Amino acid sequence: MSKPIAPDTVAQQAIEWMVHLHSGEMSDAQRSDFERWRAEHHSHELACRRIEKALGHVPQVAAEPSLRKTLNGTGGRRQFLTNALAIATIVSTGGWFYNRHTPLTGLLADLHTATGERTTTHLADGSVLTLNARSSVDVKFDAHRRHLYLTKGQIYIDAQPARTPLVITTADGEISMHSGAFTVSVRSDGTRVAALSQAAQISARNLSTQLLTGQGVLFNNQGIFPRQIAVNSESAWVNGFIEVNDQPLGTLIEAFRDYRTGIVRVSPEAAKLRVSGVFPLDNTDYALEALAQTMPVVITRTSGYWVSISKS
Amino acid sequence: MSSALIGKPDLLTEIFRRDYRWLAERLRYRLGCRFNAEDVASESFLQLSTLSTLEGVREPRAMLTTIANRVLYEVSRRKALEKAYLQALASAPEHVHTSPEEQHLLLESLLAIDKALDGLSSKARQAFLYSQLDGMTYAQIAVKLGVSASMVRQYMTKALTQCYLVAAQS
Repeated sequence: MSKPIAPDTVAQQAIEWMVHLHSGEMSDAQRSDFERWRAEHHSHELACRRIEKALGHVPQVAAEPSLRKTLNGTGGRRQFLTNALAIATIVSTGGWFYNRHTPLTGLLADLHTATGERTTTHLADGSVLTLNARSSVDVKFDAHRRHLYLTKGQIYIDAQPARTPLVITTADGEISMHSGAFTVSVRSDGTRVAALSQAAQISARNLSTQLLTGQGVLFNNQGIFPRQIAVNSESAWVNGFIEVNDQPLGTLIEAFRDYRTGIVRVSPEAAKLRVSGVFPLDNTDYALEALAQTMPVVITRTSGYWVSISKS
Repeated sequence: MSSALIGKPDLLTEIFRRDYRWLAERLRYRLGCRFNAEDVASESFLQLSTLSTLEGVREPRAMLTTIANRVLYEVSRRKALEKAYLQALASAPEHVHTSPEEQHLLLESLLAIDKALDGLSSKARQAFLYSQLDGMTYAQIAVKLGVSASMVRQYMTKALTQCYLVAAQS
């Protein structure tokens, strides 16, 4: 929508060079000319890199006939908009918008939950796995391995002892355990793990650390960081509650968002207020009501789908 | 929540109060599914709320319709690519062993490319893919597409310009 309208002169030159470079007709002399131009100024280098960056994103799998055909398709927006049938074919896409940043992650997972939904599954080895709302897990269990891929959301796992360790992989790293209860959640800032009854091994990038019972950790591409946890309240969501102890209101509302459709808007002042208590996840309207009565906030409902919370 | 929602709450609330039901009803009529209509309407409002020019919007309903149509279009492209991707995985065993994370990243890359090629003609898209995936020269592509080599050059210029603009944004 807000695409820049046109590239500047340097960019245009870089594009011309790059078009020439891919033609298959560039002579050695021309290639040296290009290299010279590119090295001439850092803006030239930058413009070339931008194009290379975008080109580097074309994965080879796109050469498969089904993908190539789809990518080749004109399917322009204008054509789409005049085609009422095309609009009717997307009926089954519910839930796409729940997680705006990684809407596709649920697709390849074995287990997943929708907004406001929790499920508990007994795995082949007797371990118990609970998914919080809007979560996805890929389960790979066989004679040689016990592997869970958590692609989004939050899980509670009570692992049974077995010969092979149970390994949970997220985009940020790996958690390996023999037995015991843990919660693991994936958010935009990294993976959080709480060791509730046993120890686990955390590996992220080339770092590794032992997580002892009662300890929490956050890891991401920056490293592994200790995190304070309250063992009793970490897994309260399994039973449909969220327990917070002197935490920002914004954190609590984030947890509610996985249980509500529509928009909840929190003003920055209200988000900073500290809150303690136990709140029901399956009745967030009631929970919001309780907040309005006990905290200095005003809750305005424009409709069931639009709720604003501000400091009173 | 996005902080962009906070700066202009009164105007947004007013637009929401007046137009949200209207948009959701319209979408429901077109989509025939209440659940999705709410999702698309919510997403459209979120996008509307991030517009820096919100104050200047004269006809919120027209703007919302435009945004909602784009949201629908993006969903349909995502869905088409996702389906094609799963087919590709099924027919190409060497890709199956990629992890869910890698698969997710691949899909995101495909979406990024599709977005970059948005608005190009089918021939321009084909030319771009022949060049990038198959390493064909422009002369070879010209034969394949039945156009002149200078036309292929024009296609590539358009495609690389879009690539540049998309990369400059991110």
